[in-house]
Amino acid sequence: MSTDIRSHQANQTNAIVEDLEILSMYDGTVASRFLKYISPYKKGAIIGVAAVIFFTLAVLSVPLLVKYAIDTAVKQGDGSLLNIIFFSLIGVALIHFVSNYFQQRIIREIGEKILFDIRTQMFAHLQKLSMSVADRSKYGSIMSRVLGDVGALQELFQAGVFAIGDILTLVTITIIIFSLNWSMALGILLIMPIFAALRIFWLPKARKAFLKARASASVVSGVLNEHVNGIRVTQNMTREKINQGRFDKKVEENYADSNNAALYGSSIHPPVEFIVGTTMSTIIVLGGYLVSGGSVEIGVMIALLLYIQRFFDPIRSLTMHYSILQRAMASGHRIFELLDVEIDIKDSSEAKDIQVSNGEIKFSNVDFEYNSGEPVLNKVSFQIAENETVGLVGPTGSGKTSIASLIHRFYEIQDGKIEIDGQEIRSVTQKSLSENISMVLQDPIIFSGTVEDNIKYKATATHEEVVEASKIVGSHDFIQNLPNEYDTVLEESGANLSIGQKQLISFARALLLNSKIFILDEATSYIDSHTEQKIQKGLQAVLKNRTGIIIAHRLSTIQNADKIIVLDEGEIQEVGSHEQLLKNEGLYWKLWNNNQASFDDL
Amino acid sequence: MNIKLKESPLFLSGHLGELAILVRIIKLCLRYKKLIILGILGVIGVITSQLWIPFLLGTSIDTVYSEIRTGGDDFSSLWILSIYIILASVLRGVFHFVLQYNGEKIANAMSAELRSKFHHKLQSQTYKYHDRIHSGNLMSRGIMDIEGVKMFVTTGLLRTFEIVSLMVAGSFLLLRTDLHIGLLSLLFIIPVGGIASVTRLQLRKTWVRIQEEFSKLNTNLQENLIGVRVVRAFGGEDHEVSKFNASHDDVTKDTIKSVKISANGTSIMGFCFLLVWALLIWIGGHKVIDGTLSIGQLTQCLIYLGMLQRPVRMMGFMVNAYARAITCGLRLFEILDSKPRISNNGKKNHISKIEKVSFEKVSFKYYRNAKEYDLNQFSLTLEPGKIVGIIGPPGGGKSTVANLIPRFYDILGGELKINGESVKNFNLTDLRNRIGLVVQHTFLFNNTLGENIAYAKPDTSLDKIIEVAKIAEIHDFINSLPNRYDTMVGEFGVSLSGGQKQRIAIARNLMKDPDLLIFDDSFNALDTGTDKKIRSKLLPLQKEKATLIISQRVSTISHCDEIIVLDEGNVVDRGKHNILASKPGIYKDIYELQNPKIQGQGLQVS
Repeated sequence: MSTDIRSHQANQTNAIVEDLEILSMYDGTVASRFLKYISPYKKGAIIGVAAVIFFTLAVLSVPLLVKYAIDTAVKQGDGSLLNIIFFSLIGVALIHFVSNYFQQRIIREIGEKILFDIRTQMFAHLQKLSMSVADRSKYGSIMSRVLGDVGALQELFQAGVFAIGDILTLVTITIIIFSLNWSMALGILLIMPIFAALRIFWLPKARKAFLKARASASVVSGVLNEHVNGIRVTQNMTREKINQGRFDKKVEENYADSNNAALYGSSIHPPVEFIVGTTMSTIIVLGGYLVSGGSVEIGVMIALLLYIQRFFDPIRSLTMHYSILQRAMASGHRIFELLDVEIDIKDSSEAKDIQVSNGEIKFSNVDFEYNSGEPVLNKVSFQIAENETVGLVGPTGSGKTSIASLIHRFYEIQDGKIEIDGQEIRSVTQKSLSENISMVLQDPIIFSGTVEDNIKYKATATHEEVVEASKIVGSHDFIQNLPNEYDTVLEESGANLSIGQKQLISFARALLLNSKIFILDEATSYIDSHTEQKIQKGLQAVLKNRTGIIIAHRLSTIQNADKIIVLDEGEIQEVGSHEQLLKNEGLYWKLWNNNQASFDDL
Repeated sequence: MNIKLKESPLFLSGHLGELAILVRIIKLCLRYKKLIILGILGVIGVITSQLWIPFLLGTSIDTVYSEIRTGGDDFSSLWILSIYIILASVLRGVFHFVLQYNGEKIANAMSAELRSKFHHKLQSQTYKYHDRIHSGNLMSRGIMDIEGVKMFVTTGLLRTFEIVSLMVAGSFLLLRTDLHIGLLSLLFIIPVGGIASVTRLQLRKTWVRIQEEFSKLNTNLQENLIGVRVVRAFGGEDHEVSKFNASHDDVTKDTIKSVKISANGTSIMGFCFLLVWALLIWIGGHKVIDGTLSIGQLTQCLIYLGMLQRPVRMMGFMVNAYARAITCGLRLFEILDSKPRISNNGKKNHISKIEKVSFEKVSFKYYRNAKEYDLNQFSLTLEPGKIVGIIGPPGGGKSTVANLIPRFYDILGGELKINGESVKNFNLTDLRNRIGLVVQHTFLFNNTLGENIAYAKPDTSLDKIIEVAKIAEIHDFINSLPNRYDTMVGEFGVSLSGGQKQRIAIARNLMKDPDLLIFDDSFNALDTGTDKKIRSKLLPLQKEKATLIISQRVSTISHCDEIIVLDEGNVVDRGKHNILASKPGIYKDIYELQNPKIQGQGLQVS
């Protein structure tokens, strides 16, 4: 568990470093595919952009109105004109109010909806991928794609729309100041590229320092996490002092990195303020001469002073949006990579729901491999009759668990045929197949929620049915002792239950599915003898009218099965009842005679 | 060990007032005197230069205006003013740098210290404490809450000082320039500051909820990925999708709610600001016409007002930082103030060798208010050369016996003596150093296999590591890996099986060369063959050591000098294997269950 968290963090750190390296990546396919997600919200997006335009214009009209107030009304001493300007300003304030509200609300709302659409699409896609894909993927990487990268891609939309406002601001201000006075405008515009260049030079450096600080902070968290989870070992080994030293070292490294980031972050202020000051001085001196020469009104000077304050902000945010764009592109890439993973096991177009009445299973010459060139099952054929209980045994890697997975079509076979009640499993829908096979796996999985939620899982069962299933498998007693019985909320991965209790819940869950075929895939191997004894009793009842497959390495678990299949290296070695196999004097007999309880002892 | 955990909220130290928490954080900061002085210097510098600029601009406008009115063209003073403007701007930049850099340094230093203290506290806390508080809970306190306190220092403390002084000085200057305009700007500060604060507090509430919902979504996704086999086996794909969509829907709904709140707040604030701006031009304009105000002064006021806009909005962030610091501080100090119930305090006797461990009618329970004892009137003596086995159903108290000796828990009744003296009299580190307790599920650190084995003695030679690894039957496996003992845990897809982990745990404890070896169900993931091999290799070592073996498997303990059968905290039987196996009871039941051949008939399956 903790290893996964660490690799998850490492992944994120790597992703950040990657972003830095592919600085100028612009991926056309990412952008055009992303556009498709916007199209359902076209109308809203247009209104949003319109609101951005109105907002920008409202903001920029204020200094102009100030100029008119000073140059026309004040200088001419015309109070009524001043009143008109006052009411115009109120009007601008109202437009500002409405457009500001809508630009923020609509754009961010659409952003959230796009995020929802992409994330749910990714999640739905994940559900369709086969086990062979799932086996190969690291779940930390998937988590960071579904949670982190989608967030970054969504920022692309917001940053994009607000960038429209920024560019509009720059263009409009440029037009306005040129129309006010071209020579002063030229003076100001000459200074602006210096500002932009400064930010473009500074931003990547500052960002790198910042990311380094963040990476070393996540190292600190990683060490803390490890030491918290390993606390019992640490105290047992009396290593507290050494660990404290190790942790403090990481903290100090992060302290140095954070201070470095702070240095970079704050060092931008003096040069920026120098540029701002120089611009204002230019307006004052140049303006002074021009005003006294009579070619410019004094109000123009004031308006320009007000405009340049607004000129720096869009440049600031545009350079910032640029890095958001880069991050979004990299994220988009990872998202589409996941969505493009092909669904390798699909229902065929004429697939029907499977009809299971007897629950007969038949394997004919099945060949199977997880990785090509490494065969796991070799020409395996066997038949299981209605209501028969079959034990599958064999050393680790003999292919017994693969057989269980194949009945369920978790993987596709390379050759041969698997049939249930005469229907080839590749010709039926996967959903109906799952619903007709109950399975209990080696590792019990507990979902967050109550005990009853966990037993029901997706079934629509009544409370009475849940209790009944629970009584049959023998989990009712301990559930009744839980603080809120069936309504007890289970902690993450069922931390408040023992592994045996979790497995009993898995049994009840499988039973509630009420299907004709019941598979136990090493379901009792982690369980102590006492709990197994209880489970065995429940199992007798469960398997009475069902076809059962019990995969085990403990011989006592399957000793009384109707039939035992002994597998080794992907081939069937022996088939028969316990007594028959002992007579055969083969692998099974050898084991039994050595008085060894398990196949893994070979 | 199988303790049922009820995640109870921590005992909240309710008397710790909210203000007291802020005062405590401020006190922590005040220890960095040099940085604080530099920071305050920065604040004063920023404010002074900040307020100087509008004055310079206003004066410049008035200079120009009076020159054109008098027809003069002496602009030498304008040149001087423009140099002052650049100077004031640069000073503002420099002081801003001083302020921000030192402010963040204070926050970094404080959070580094808090982290170190936090780590130290967790390391010294008892098992009981860690049983009770989920590691995720501790992690979020150690990461998020320290971050919250840090944020209070950067956006809270010095900023508050900056903003408050700026508002006070700015309003004062405005009031001095013109009474009406000054009052007008004050009128603007109050409602906008109020809206900013209310909006932020509302947002905070929503954000906390979004965070909870998001972590649910996170769990949802994680469970889906971990439980992928169950999902596929049950055909639960549609069920999972609707579950995921429903919890994502909650996140989206609340996020949109927060968007509405913030859009509301900022657009109202923007409106208020423009309204005051309009009033300023209207009233100010009339005053200029009346001749009671100069154009330069009006300009100055306009720029002042522009300058006040940002700090007033920032008040919202400040209020948020305070509120967050109180919650985070409360959660953090709760941990930092906790006192370990088992500690090394006071001078304790040193111990060089454990000669004898004796339980004399020892009783213990995990929960003080539980009705039944988890271990009841338990007596046992452990001595060098003697091997004792304990067996019994889960929850019977077996692991409890193991955990009491190194004082991971303290006994409640009876006497637990080491070398004839109460276990509580010994130095904790000494005591634990003499005991090798091998647990069922060990924790492997993100390190090499070699370092994991040498965990207790990091400076050990590789020869010594190999020696213990050989005894624990793990050497051949490690040697077969490309990087051998330098292989990182989890590297090259090397995921260790439960049995391999147990063998590393055994090696790890042998490394300590303890006087007492305890195996707490630590052979259960090993096949019986390996189990037997390790036990035979241990035999020569055990001659000088006391040994306690806890197991569910009869074959693991059948050779012991004494076997104790524990059920529900009570000793129900004790003696040697031959005797126990021949009389009816729990021991015989287990034995026959595990050896179907002996009984001749196994379980009825169908």
